[in-house]
Amino acid sequence: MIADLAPLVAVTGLVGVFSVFLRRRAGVARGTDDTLTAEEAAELALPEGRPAVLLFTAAGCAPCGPAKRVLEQTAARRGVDLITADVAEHPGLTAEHRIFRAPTALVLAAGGHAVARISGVPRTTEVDAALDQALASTPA
Amino acid sequence: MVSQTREIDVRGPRFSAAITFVVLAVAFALRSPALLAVQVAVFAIAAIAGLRWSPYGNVFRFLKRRLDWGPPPATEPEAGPRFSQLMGLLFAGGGLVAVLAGAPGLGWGLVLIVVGLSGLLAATGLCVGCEMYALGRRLGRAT
Repeated sequence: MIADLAPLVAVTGLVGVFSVFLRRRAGVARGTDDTLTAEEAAELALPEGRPAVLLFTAAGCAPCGPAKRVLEQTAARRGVDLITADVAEHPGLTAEHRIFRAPTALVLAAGGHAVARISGVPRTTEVDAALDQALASTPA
Repeated sequence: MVSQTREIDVRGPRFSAAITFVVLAVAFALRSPALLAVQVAVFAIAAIAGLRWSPYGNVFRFLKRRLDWGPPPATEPEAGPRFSQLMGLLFAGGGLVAVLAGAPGLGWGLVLIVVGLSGLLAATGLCVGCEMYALGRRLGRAT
């Protein structure tokens, strides 16, 4: 009887561990060393010489709406631009910057250097901290 | 592309996945082909007739009205979750066929895959079938 249940317990345990990992990571800013090229910045119409938040969205992506709302509010409060890009319309960019899931946000300092990457619905405090970093690395 | 895109409450699929997880885990624990068959029928109705006919989806909508769970935090097109129900039908249905055909190891193994994926959706909101559907759409458009 116990041996019969072992595979079920194993699968449930694996899912549990993976779920905790995903939930801890969701919405948290992770450090990154990634820079958008000038061509990519032009493709996305990024503002020049100012930090910005770039959000990758996809058709049929449920958390993209809530993610966009959080970023819109935070970007407006901090006076930076929010640019959204549909992954289907920017396949090259998506592949180059390894965007696997929507929503994924990149917090960009001036010059297109990404200081943070956030998957899932961003937590406001995480976006603020990343923007502090982006603004600090932008020459006044 | 058929542009008949019905929008559904994102909480619906998670709720359904939680029931699916429990039903299939019990079916596995009891090695009950009958209970597995019930879940296969649920997948078949949702995948073939559409999510508005999904038995679990209707339980969700009933409870939502009765308990006043409020408006959806977000909506999503039906297509991705419906594709996931089709994947569930293929794996759980294949499992049922294997069990009935005298290959219980293979059959219950297939069921465990569905147990894992429905548990993941219920716990985190990550719907692997929906991601596959979205990826397929993206690749289909790129070529």
